[in-house]
Amino acid sequence: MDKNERSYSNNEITVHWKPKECIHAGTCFRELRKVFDPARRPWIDIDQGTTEEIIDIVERCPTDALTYERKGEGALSGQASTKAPQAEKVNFSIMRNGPILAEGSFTILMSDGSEREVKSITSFCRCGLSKNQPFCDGTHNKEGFFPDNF
Amino acid sequence: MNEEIKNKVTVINNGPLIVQGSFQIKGVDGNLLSTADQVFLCRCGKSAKKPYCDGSHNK
Repeated sequence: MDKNERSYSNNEITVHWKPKECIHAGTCFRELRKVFDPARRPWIDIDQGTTEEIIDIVERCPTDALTYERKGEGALSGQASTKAPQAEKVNFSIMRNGPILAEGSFTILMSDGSEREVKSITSFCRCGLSKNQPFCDGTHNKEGFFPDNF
Repeated sequence: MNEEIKNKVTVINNGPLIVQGSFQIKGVDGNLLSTADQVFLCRCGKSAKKPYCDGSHNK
């Protein structure tokens, strides 16, 4: 297990955070900042939202970076960590003040001529600041990025 | 015989992403922006036509 993984619990659920899975889509902090605040440490404060609000956000995390389990359900925990299967068509979603979320199966031809296969999901940098080009590394959050103009 | 079209994203050094094939591009509000066979997407943050490239990265 990654030593950076964390779990946060209230009376009803435990939310698991796996930073290596995160592709910085930003749904969590854009829609429920009081709980998910990247500028705070720890960045998840599970007591700042209702269980229903938190489950809604965790289920809309596009990866398994955020998962949850209900207290006492033990064996059912895996249920929440299996996100919906990806559609066959490739979908690119422009994230507000964030990356391009790419879902589907396609090939990336890198600028050095090498190829990478994407089978499910990845995210492309849109601010030019990522150190992991062409992928998003979350740097836009630190630098502010800019409002979208379309 | 028609060769199957491969969905491909080409990363241009110091330039945009070229997206070719069967793609759907959705904007920040979930609105459909494009299903064109080929689009150029900004990856420098400077374009005035985001999410598309307008060549501003060269300036």
